[in-house]
Amino acid sequence: MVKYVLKRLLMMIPVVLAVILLLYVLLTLAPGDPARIILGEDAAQELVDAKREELGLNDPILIQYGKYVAGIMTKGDFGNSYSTGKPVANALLERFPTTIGLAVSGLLVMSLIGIPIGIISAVRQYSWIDNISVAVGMIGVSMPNFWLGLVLIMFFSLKLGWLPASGFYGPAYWILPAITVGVNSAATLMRTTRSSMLECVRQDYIRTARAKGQKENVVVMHHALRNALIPIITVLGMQFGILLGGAVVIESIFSIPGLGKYIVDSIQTRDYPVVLGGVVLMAICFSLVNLAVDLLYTAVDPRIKTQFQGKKKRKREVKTG
Amino acid sequence: MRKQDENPAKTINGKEKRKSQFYEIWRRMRKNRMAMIGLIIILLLFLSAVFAGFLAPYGIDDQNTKERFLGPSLQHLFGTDQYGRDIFSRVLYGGRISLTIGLVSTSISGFFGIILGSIAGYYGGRLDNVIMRILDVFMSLPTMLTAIVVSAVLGPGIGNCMLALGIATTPRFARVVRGPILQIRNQEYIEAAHAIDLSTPQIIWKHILPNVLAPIIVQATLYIAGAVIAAAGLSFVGLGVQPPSSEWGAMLSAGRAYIRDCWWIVTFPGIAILLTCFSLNVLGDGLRDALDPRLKN
Repeated sequence: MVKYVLKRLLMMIPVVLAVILLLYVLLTLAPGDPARIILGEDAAQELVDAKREELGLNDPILIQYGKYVAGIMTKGDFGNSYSTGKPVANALLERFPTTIGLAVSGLLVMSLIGIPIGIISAVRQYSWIDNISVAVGMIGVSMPNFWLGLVLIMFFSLKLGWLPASGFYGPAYWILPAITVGVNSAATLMRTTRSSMLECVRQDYIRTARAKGQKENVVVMHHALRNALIPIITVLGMQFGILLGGAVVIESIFSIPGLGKYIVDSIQTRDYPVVLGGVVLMAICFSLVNLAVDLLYTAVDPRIKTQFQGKKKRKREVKTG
Repeated sequence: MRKQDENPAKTINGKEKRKSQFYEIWRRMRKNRMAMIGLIIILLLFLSAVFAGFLAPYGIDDQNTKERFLGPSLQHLFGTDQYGRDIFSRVLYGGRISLTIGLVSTSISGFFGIILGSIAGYYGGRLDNVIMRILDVFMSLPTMLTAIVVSAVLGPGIGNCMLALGIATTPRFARVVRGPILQIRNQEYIEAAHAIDLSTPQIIWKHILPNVLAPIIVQATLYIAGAVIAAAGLSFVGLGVQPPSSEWGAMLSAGRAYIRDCWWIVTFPGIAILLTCFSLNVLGDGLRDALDPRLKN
């Protein structure tokens, strides 16, 4: 198992390097000369040229990229912001926990809503509960979450005055954003849970479990749910990525000082090192989550684990046992 | 010679069979009440966008400073905004932009996705590996982030917004196409097509793609819905279509400042997005059920 994790971590490195290369090249193509952006439109050409040399912008792009990656690897250096001149890394790290916190609380909301309703819906297929949750789930999937955020602000903050509309100072400030990011994903998760559970409850071993007189909730939670978990975990992992990407929009609605808002603001001011650093950080985080999802698969379904064992080991096991 | 032999057979067997297949799908679709509701709603939305010029009581940019911030009434069904523009009319016109973005960006990702996916799936082996690894790199970024980065580079605007969304969803589309092709490329009728010396593009176009059309259509339907939402999101943060335009996301973005007193400014464009995506999602689900051979009696 340790070997498998190491192998997967090693396999992640080229992908992450390629992602950084892709983003680096893309953002280098973006309009505007960085030296001019830093110095302003009126700066003298000599100063701009000197700045270009200082920033290493005259080097071939692959060398620039190499330097950038080396900076990240050795010093955790993501370059300096064009607008403030300060290291991007510090600013990113300051905002990163907020965005992760938002994504995790969104995951919590979605799991708490999505999984139980999905299970009930599947167990009582075609009942009124099922019909309502299927319809509401469909609406939930189709709803743009930033619009839901606006509606929630209108209702709970402005009309009722129960919760703060923007900013990020205490627990009360988390509630609306967490619901906003979570509800949409909850609908997706509910639909997946329902269909995956529906497939499982039709299996023979469920009938067997019932036949031997097992309690209904044990049948549902242990026999059916355990086997229905794989698609549920897949969706959880996928939604985490969607939450990270969606955070960009949600954070700007609620004025949350997170990574997403920082990226959008920096796009507006053409502060590309910040954009690059922020997106790279999110990509690494997303890759790690994907890895975690794959590892969870092996924990949930031991059959998957054997696929990743070396051929020799498998042969040996067949021989001995 | 070969051509002559082939053609009569195709018109008799091929065409008739294809027609009946679609008929069968349509017959199953019709039984699905939700899917039919979705189909009707999306057709109505589509028609109302096309004929916005006739249906809208006011022009798209008709400003009337005397009628600013009016609530919904018979004169202004959805109320008016900060410039006194009729929101109902703007939502109708906005449908043109939002639906176009959805359709065009999905066509872009469909076009490249089908090409990449079918090459990867059909040839397999090393080429498949190269294509899929490159797409993996794109897929290790969340779709919305890719779209944001691409539109940051391209700048705002309708065309760039469509391009950004198309590029961002292409890898996932390619994967949807590749899966079923991998399964059918070893079937006997493909071998038969090889045996009569059809060229590879012919085999892919005439024999493989029609058989993977079902998942492609379903996926495209769902992607249009996703693209409408994503485009609205991009416009909302100022990276997509810019405010004087009546794209639904841009309307939300512009109306956001007034939510304290005028709920209608952001409510109705949002409902338009919701309705569009709801109908497309329901339709996509219905199509999937209708196309799923396991449900066939």
